[in-house]
Amino acid sequence: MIDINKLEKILPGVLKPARYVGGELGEVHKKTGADTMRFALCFPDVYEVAMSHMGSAILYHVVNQMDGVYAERAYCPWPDMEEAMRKAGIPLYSLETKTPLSVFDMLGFNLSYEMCYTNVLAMLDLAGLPLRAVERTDEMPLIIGGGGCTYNPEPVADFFDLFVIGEGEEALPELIELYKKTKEDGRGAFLKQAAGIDGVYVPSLYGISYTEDGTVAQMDARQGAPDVVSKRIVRDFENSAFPTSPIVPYLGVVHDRVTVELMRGCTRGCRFCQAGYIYRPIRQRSAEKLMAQAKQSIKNTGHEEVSLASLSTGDYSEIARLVCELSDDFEGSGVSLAVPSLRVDSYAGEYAERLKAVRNTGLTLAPEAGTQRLRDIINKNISDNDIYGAVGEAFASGTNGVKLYFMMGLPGETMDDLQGIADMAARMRELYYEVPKEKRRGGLRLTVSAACFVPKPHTPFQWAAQDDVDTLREKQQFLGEKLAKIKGVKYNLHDARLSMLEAVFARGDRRLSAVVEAAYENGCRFDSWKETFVFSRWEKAFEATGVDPVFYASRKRDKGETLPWDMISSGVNKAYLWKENEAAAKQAATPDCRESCTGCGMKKAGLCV
Amino acid sequence: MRIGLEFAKTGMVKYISHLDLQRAFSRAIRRSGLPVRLSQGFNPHYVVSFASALALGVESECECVEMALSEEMDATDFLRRIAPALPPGIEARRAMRLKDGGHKLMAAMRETEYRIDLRNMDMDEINRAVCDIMNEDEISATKHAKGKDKTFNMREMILDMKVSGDALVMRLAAGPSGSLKPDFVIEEIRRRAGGFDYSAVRTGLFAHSAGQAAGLLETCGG
Repeated sequence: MIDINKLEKILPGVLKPARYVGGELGEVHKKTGADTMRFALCFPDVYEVAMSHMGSAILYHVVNQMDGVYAERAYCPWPDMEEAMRKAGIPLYSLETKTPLSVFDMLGFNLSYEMCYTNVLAMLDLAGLPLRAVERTDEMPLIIGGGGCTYNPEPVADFFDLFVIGEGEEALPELIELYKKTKEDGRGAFLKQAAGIDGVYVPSLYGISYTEDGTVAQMDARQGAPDVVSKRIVRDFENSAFPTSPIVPYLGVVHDRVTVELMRGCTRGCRFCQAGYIYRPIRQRSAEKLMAQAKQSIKNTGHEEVSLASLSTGDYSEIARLVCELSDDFEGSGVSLAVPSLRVDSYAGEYAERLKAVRNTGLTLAPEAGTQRLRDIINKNISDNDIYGAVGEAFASGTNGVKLYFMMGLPGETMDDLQGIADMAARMRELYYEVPKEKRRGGLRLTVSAACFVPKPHTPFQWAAQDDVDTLREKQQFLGEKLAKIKGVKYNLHDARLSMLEAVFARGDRRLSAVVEAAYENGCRFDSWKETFVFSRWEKAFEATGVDPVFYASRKRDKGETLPWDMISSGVNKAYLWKENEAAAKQAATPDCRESCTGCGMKKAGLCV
Repeated sequence: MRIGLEFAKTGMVKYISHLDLQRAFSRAIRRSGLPVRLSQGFNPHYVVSFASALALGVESECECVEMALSEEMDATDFLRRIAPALPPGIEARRAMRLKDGGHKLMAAMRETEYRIDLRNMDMDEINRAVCDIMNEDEISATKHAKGKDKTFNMREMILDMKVSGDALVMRLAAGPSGSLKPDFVIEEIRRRAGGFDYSAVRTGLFAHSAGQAAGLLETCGG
């Protein structure tokens, strides 16, 4: 255990000390002995973000149900706390028992977004561990990674002992059992056997060579490791683990509510959306199960809100019934329902009314692109009629807030498509003022957010070039000028440089580990936070390592190129993705695969359920 | 009916803010299933009101909160049901029915008492500083609120202060006409006697009854 007196000395001087003390309702306490396997769920962001992550809550529950294993939590301290800890000589510790992370058996990092990588290094360093796997000894904890970014783990391959690809509820316990059995045989023996578990990728067992033009030449799987690692999925989603007594944070966290998971996967096939490919196949829980989970969770936690979560909640087959019955159940108890991720074409009036009755949050839509042509390219199969229909309906029923989400820099985009975004905003304004004055609730609150498109691995756009930073900035300025002519529109945009870095690390190879390390040494932390992002530190890191970010972000790949993540399979095969890439160029629609199988490869891989 | 609850906030939970505490109570109430009244409107919340905000990092043996119940209930039953629903570090001490139509706890607040446990400090030196402070009429301090610095006489808000063993016990003005946080006083002592480590505990909340300090819950109860 760390020196609590030392900790108490620094806590009054840092922002939100409650981030660093644990002790919340629902925190798991276990008796530990010499043979207890100690696991730390590490999330490379602040407490409020980490505690909002559902996957971590599920794994905390699953691992703590195992005998002889104790899972605790550790998050990335904000820079003020990092500095205070270093000054006081306090190593990174677990929230539950304040145990230094260096004495744990295994640290499991969630990698949800690329820009958390320097935080992973900060956490390893604060734990007193060497950053690179080759420099760590058998006495030190194993460092493992999971989450969306592990579909291309190469940019951080040097720091990790292994990655679990796909859903971890079943794979992680298997890995822990193997560790317990083979602990005495040493790290090398464990890793070799771990590579035999489905979904486990051990980067040190793969030799990567490069061609003269900088692309990957070959990937050699050694010591019996599989040539291709296929992701894991939970087949029986209905009955898979779900924590109804999750930790209830004292601090206000980002998603401060009970979340029930309606579905996994999405069948729409939007071509830019990585989640739509890597989380296939679609699986859903029964309404009965969800209602029981929601009610039990509210009873156990006392939360004031239940979120019905999935990638596309309107696609849930019993959404209307679920919303109506749950809102009846919670009537008068001060508990409200939140339904995120509603698609425009599934925004149904019948239950929209019920949601408004509990909490009016306005309407959020993601048309993604400003014209039908570009929406056809990206396979976002919604029409102008769908969009204006939903908005008109919402305005008529008293909504005055609309948030619109777009991307700029999509493959095939022209200035006309950006003009289309402005036109759409103007049309929304007209629609609002067509509603009789007595039915309106004040002025229109219209927000247009335009993110910069980041091509992602395992999508049809994985070969595409990202617009360079200058082009993105020109486009941002163009759209800004158009929107400025429409009264009352709020325009949000992303830092193009950050999007460029995301593109680099989304599709990078192993040589980027050196860049991450150099950026960390330059002081990069919390790169996804506006207040802590310093681009010049990244520029210096690229210079010092001789790595050209343009090669990764804005280079169009050939069909035949070996991609750095080709040893990882999401179940959707490369040939299908290429076919979709070509369909995009032809603006050809691909239907929802629930209508008819589109042959993505999941069935062939034995993963479609 | 109105009910008042006294609770302790001890251990690491002292690092949660007043806002966090309000949220924690709202969740504890929902878990308990007690008939606490909900406000009307788009975002209904429980009608709960704390007597006095406690500073971050300070423990307490005697925080008070009042709630409006939608049905009649025995204070003992209330205590029995709220106690197990409270989160770790927050411990229900006692509950009391409050006078119908009486002052809110917050409005009745007049004084707070703190015990400051000092570590590795020459208590004679502390005692000298305390005596000096108590013999002065004016000690000015500056607080920062709403983007402005405001200077005030801190001394008139220190009602009493003395050294007791290795601790410092102070009575400070609190309530609608202004509250003094103990860190102002501690800073002043540090300025005079040198730096020291300490931990602070709130040990009493008081109303005034017939010009005398009296227990807050007792004064408002009945």
